[in-house]
Amino acid sequence: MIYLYTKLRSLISYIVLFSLAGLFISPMLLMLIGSVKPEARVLSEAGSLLAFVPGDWNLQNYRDVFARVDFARYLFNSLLITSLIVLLGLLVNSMAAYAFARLQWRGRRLLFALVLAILILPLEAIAVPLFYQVSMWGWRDTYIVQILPFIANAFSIFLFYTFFLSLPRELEDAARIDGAGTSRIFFTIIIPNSKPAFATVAILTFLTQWGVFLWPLMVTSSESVRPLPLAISTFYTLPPLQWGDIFAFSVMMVLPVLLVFWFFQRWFIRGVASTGIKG
Amino acid sequence: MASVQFKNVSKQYDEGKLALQDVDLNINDGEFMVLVGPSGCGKSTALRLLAGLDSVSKGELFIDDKAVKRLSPQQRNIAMIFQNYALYPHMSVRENLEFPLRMLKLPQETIDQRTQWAAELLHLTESLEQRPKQLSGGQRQRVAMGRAIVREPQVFLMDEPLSNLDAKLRVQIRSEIAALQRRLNITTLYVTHDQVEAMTLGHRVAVMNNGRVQQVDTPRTLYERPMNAFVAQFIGNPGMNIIPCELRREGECLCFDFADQALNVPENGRVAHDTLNRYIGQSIFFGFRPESFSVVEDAHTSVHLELDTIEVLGHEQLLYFTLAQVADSELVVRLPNSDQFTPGVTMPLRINTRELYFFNEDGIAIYD
Repeated sequence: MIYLYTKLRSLISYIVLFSLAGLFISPMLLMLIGSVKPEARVLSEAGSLLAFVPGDWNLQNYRDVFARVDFARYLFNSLLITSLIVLLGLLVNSMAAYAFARLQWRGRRLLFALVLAILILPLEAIAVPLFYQVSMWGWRDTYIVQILPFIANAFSIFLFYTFFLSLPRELEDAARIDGAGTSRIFFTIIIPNSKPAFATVAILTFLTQWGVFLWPLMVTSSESVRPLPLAISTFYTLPPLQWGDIFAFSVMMVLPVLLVFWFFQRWFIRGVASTGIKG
Repeated sequence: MASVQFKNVSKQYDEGKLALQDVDLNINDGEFMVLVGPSGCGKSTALRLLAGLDSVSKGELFIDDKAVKRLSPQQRNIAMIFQNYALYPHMSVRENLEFPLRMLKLPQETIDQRTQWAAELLHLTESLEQRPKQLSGGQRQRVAMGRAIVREPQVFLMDEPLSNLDAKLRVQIRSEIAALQRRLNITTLYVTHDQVEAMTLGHRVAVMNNGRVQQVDTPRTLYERPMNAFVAQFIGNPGMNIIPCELRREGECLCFDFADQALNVPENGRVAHDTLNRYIGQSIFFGFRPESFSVVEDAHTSVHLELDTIEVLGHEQLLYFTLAQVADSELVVRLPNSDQFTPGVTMPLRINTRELYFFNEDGIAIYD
């Protein structure tokens, strides 16, 4: 009897879990399948389960994307902007966090409280003054205007800060006695032992920056510096509205994100666990 | 090798806590000095000040007569071994050993020679390419020792290096540390809260409490001639029994009451009557070691106490008695394991009164 009850309970659990998994994964499946279907079938099968059934599959939608926009250019722009924000962000934010977590200097606590206060400010709140500032400096329609404001990030500093606090202080003491200065300790002792924190910040920053839409829309006007999210928006705003093309574009836009996640995930999972941040 | 001197050193932290107060301590060239005391007594702070990891608030530190207060840790030419080993987890044993030498920018040939020498000395040649997490606790502590000796420091600092090891390994590494220090003859300052470590390792031991040095002496002197009640109770396992009393003169006899007995202080005891006469009528303390007892009925020297608990330690046993005359106080007696006792029974205990210690009302030992 108990055996049957346990079986039944696990069966119900599986049904619930599979249903939820299906619910979450279905938009991605729809995107993937829709990207290789003829446009006519994408629309006609949209309201039914047939939308999940591939058929007459071909790569026409992908060819359309390349024909309608300079995809490679947008991809390059997005990769350049996001990669630089991630790389420079890792350096700047980790150094700031280390200074807050370990170095003794006047005003440290006050400044850290201010950094934490910035956490609650969304970009939309400072977008307009920031726009005026960069316009005054003549930075509009450049890469730098899309990179510089996003390098320093309060959330990244906070993640690094909590991780650095968890590192044993004796490691730094030992290195100091061995003759290492602060910057050498940071680069040769702290960074190699903080891979989970670096992976976590890298992935979260990449995910956030890869999909940024509002700021590039405000500060850029030419295709040569615009990132992918602005390109996909032209598929909605300029006729003809082709859902197959949009799906194909979306698939290509998601791939780099998956690659980054795959590369960093073994440290990322440990990082999420050790920093106490829920994924 | 070098001598070390703490001259009137104090340390006050930003939040106002006074961790060290006017510490004066001289460590001779090649000496193994142990700082021992309870948690929070300031012993690790003293070590960190000497290492240069914390700044001195007042006073001066000398290494070989050279003031080092304003020198960086590296300039002091010291090496430190930490409780949790503090090995660099991302480096191999070899890289850990080489790290301080690379910081000194020594030629690769010298680095290789010294690394090999330390690895052979500490039996680490087989583990040179392994990472610290692949090593046992004992091996990790050896790597930490290796990292300390490769740079041939003037002074070794050790901060409870055995605390993370199990009991058996602790004894083994303890003797290895002693042998290494003897062999290299490097001035060593060793911090521990374990008085057995302190007594077995130290040429001299400095007992600390509340940020002050209570007494600096050889282990034997500390045990036999403690300067105050704290040292008497801290040194020895278990420590000395110290009980309040009031001396009085009865004819030729100098005596005091203890339990159901008026105990005579013999003329040939540790303290002469002439000295003790000054304390007649005052509230003072008397003390005796747990081994100063025997289970014998004697009309003049035996007290009768009820046995509370027994701890059998193998070759000996510890007997605990509650004293009715002093609140919350316990009396410990060490006896051979050959005798059998039953808790709850009242026993006659004869005190060897020639071994009595006396402390004044401030806890300072009274000697001639």
